[in-house]
Amino acid sequence: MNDTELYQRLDAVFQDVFDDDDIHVSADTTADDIEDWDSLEHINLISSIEDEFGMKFSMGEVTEMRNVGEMAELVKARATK
Amino acid sequence: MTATLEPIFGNGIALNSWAFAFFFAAAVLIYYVLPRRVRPYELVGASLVFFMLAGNGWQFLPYIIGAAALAYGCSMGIQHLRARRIDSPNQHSDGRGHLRGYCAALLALYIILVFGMFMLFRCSSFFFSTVKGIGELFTINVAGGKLNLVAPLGLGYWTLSSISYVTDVYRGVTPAEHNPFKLLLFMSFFPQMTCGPITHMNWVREQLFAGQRFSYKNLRFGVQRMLWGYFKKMVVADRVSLYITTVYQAPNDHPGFYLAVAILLFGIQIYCDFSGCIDIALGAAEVFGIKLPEDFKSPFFSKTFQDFWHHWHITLSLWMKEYIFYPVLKSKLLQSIRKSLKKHAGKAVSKKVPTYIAMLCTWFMVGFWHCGMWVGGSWKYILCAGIFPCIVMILGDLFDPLFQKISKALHFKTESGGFQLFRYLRTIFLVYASNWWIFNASSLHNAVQIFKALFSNFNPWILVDNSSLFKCGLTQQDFGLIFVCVALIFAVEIIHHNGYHIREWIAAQPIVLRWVIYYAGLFAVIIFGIYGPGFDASTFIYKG
Repeated sequence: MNDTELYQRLDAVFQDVFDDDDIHVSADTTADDIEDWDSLEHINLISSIEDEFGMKFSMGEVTEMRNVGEMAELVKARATK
Repeated sequence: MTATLEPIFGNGIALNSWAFAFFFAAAVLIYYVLPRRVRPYELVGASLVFFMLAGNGWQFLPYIIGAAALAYGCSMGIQHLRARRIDSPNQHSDGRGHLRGYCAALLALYIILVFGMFMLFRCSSFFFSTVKGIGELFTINVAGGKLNLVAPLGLGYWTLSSISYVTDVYRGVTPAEHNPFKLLLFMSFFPQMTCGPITHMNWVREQLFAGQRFSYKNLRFGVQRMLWGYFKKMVVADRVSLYITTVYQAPNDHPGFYLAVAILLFGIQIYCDFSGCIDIALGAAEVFGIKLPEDFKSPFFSKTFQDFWHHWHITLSLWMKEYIFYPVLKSKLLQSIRKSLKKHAGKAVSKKVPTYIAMLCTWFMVGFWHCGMWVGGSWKYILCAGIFPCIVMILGDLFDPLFQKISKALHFKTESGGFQLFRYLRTIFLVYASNWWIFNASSLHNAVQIFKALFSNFNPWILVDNSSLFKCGLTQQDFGLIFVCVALIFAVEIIHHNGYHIREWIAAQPIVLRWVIYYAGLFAVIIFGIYGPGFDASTFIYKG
C-alpha cells in the first residue's frame, strides 16, 4: 500500500465518519482542522480506521496520535507486520 | 473579621495559614541554597514534612510511601515484561500473550489496591448508608456503622495521578521512573496535595526532577499568582460562605429569594474557592520553577454546557477522558454494539448510542470521585456532579439539530454579540440547574428541602428593603465588597480570555507602581480576608 492509496482510504473513512465529502486529509491534518473531530468522535474515527484496515490500535497509540500523519505511520507499520 | 491571627496557627498547615507561609518560605530558601542535583530530593523531604504537618502526624506517611513503592514495583515490572515482549519477536505468540497478561495483572493489582484504599478511606460511609437505605426499602434492619477513617492528605488526587502513571507505563506512553524518590515526588509534590491539579508523569517529569535554577521572574510571578489565589479564597469565597451556610442550614427559615441569592452566591464561592486554591498551588510550584497544568480556562465564557466542563477542573476531565471514556468506548462490548447498530439502525444511531453509554459510565465515575472527596459523601454527588450533567449533555446533543433549525427559522443572528451573551448565560444557568444548587446541600433530603423552600415564598422585596439580606451572616458592607471583588475577578477573566497576561503587564510597569500593586494585593488579603474565631483554615471545597 503506497501513501497515495493510504490517504485515499483515510479520506474515505474521514468523509464517512464526519459526513462531509469535502474532507481531504494530509499528514499535517489535526483535530483543529475538522470541526466535529472532538474527544467524543475520536474513538468512532479510530474504530472506523481499525475496521477499514483490519487492525487494532492500543489505547496508548490512540491517546498519543497528534495528527493524521502519525495515524498513517501507525497504519503502515501495522500493515507491514 | 480580623480579630486575631492566633486560630490560624492552631489549625495545622493548610495552604491559607501563616504556618504554610513560613513552611513555604523555608522550603524555597533551602531549595535554592542546595546544589541543583540535590534540589528534587529537598522537594521530596519538604513534601513529606508538609504531609505530616497537614495530616497532624506521621501516621499517614506509610500510605503515600507504600503507594509510591507499589507504583514503583508495578511500573518497573511492567516495563521489564514489555521489554521482554519486544525483544522476543520469534517467541511463540502464546508466550508473548502470557507476558501481556502479566503486565495487565500488575496494572490491575495497582489499580485495585490504590483505588481500594481511596474507597476504604473516602467511600466507606457512603457504602454503609447506601446498604442501610436499600435495607430500609425492604424493611430489613441493616446493622453496622461508620468506620470514621481519616484519609491521608491528597488521596483523591495522588490516587488518580499515580494510576495514570502506571497505566501510561503499561500503554508504553511513558517510561518507568527508575528513581523511587522521584516517583514519590511526582505523587506527593506538596503544592498539589490540597486541591490538585491532577498531573501526568509526561507533563512534569523534566521540570520536577531537574533541580531548577533560581529565577527572579518565577519567584515574582509565582508569589503574585499565590496572592491572587489568597484574594479569591479568603476575601471572596470565605466571605460569601458565611451567608450561604446560614441560609442552607435552615432553608425553611430562609425561603424564596434568600435561597435564590445563596444559590447564586454558591457559584461565586465554588469558583473562587477552587480556582483560588489552584492559583496558590500553581503559584507555589512556579516559585520552584515548575509549571503545573491549568485547571481553569475562563469557564464562564463557554458557549455550550459541554464546553464549560472542558474549561472547569480541566485535569480531572482529561483524566476521565483518557482512562475511563476512551477505554469504555473502545471496549469490545461497545464496539460490537456499534457494529450491530450500524447494520440495523443506521450510522447516526450506531455512533450516538455507544458514545452515550460511555459518557454515562464516565460521568458516573466523576460523580463517584466527588462522592469520595467529601466526608459523608452521598448519592447527591453522583447525581449532581455526574448523572445530571451527563443527561443535560446528552439531551443537548440530541436536540442540537432541532435548536439549529429553530434559530434558522427565526433568523437569529448566531454570530451577534447578543446571541453569544445568551449562550454564555444559558450555559451558566444549566450548570446551576444541574449541579450547583444541589452541590452545597448536606444531603439529597436537604436538597429537596431547599428546592421546596425556594418556591414556597415569593419575596423579591428582600433584595431592596435594605435590611433582610443583611441578617444572614453578611453586612451591607460585606455585600458591597463582594460586588467590587467579583467585578474585579470578572474583569481579570475577560482580560485573560482575550489573550492578555496581567502579570506581564505588571512586570512592564515602573517599579513604584509595581510595588503599589503588590502591597495593595497583600493588604487587601490581610485587611479583608476572613479569619478569626470560628474560622477553619483547612476548609477548601475541593480539599483532597
